Order: sequence, then C-alpha cells, then structure tokens
Amino acid sequence: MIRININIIDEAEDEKIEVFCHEDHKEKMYGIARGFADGSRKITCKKDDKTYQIRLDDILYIETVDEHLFIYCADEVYENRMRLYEAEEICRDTLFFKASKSMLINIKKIDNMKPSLSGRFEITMINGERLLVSRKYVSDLKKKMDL
Amino acid sequence: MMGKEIRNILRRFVSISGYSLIMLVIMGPVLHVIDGVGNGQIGAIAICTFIAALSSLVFISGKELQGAAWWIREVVCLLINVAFALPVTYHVGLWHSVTGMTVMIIIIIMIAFGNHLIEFFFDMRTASQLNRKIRELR
Repeated sequence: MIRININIIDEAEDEKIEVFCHEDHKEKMYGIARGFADGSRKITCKKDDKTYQIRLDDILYIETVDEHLFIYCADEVYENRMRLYEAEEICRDTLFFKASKSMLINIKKIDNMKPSLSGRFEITMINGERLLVSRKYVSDLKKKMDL
Repeated sequence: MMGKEIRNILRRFVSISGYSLIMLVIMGPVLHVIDGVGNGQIGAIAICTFIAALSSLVFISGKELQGAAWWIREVVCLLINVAFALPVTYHVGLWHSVTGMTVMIIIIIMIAFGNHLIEFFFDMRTASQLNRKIRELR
C-alpha cells in the first residue's frame, strides 16, 4: 500500500516532489511526478483588470487573435501580452502541441478527435468545445504521443 | 518550401498514374469498353496526369480554407483538369460521343475525390490511435 505524505511549506519556498518507490516502479513514478510538475507551471494572465496565475494543467488551449494572446480554461478566458512563441517556450516539454499557426492545445484536455474529408481533424475538448486542426499539425501530436 | 512542393507534385503524379492505370484495366480487360490503348493515347494520359499533379498547386494557401472556400478550391482544381483533359483525350481518340465525354468526366471526378477518400481512411486510423493514447493519458 502506498502512503501519501504532504508537508505544507511557506509561500516563499519552492515546491518539490520527492518519491520513494521500488526500482521496478521508477519509470512510472517519474512519469507521474513529471506530468504533475509540468502541469503546475504557471502563466500570468489578466481578466477584468485583475491578474491571475493560471496553471498549465488548467488550460485547454492558447490562441492568438489579432496579435492578442488568449488563454482558454474550462469556464474562463484570460488574456496575456506575450507572443505565441513565448507561450510555446513555456509549454515546451509539456503536453501542449502546436495545432495551427496561432494555437496551442493541451493534449490532456482533449476528449476525442475525428477526421473530416477536408483533410482536417475535429478535436472535441473536455468542455465540449470543438477545434479544427489541419492534418499537417497532427503529425506533431503523433510525435508527442510516441506514434 | 519549393522542394516540398515539388515532392508533393511528384507524389501526386505517381498516385494519379496509379489510379489511371486501374481505370484502364477496368475499362479494358474487365469491362471491355476499350480495346487496347495506343502509344499516342498513353502519352496523352501521361500528360493529363502531369497536369493533374500540377493542379495541386491550387491547394497552396496562406491560411487553412474551410466550408465554401474549401469546396470552391476543389471545384476550381476539377475544372482545370476537365478543361485540359477533355480536349486532349478527344484529340487522341479516347472518346467520341457524349457518353464517352461523360465517362471521362466521371473518371476525373473519381480520381480527384478518390484521393481525398483514401487520405480520409488513413486519417481515421490516425484518429483511432490518438484517441486510444489520449484515453490512456487520462
């Protein structure tokens, strides 16, 4: 049986994950811890003149429209002044993939996907929203998923 | 970018050549609609195939097209192929009557959209694999 210990620390201290496991579970535990650590990276966003720190894990997708960067969560939309390439840098080595010239999608927030005759894939996110991705960007998704 | 487009054109030339060969086999040995194909006719088919491959340049676009715009582009590509292939194939004697012309147009449409259909089947496989991986992730 796995015991779980959580120690509360001061806001000023850095959070960390330490895992005590058997040799044969090392890879799996590392994957779980890595996934959690990546998802806890944050982006500073604005909404209604207030500033928020949004975890990558809470983001469904990021999109630029008319040189404005919008961050879409399940129920809210935030704005950020950075460029898409800067958001790509923050999301590097995480489960975000470039879905078009102006969009990054969080793979963990995808519900399912299906192809269409026009050479695009229709991706349904967990909140029911549908996004269209061209076939040429799906190859990036396949690489991220080791296919 | 130029190299990628040339490779695309060559790839389409090879696949359309394959479809044309399949059509010739169906029209000839299978259905006996045509009785042998001469060198001039094969040459004309090869030229039409090359023009069909070149017409894929119509698909170069700065942004992804959808809906009506996508269909308009497909129809433009089809019209280019029909406008070129019909007179060339008539001139080398591949068809003579209105029926023959209709068959030729149907073949061009089948090749144009058959390509999309084959790519769609491959995309279905890709979507199935990705959906499985996404479920494992959750």
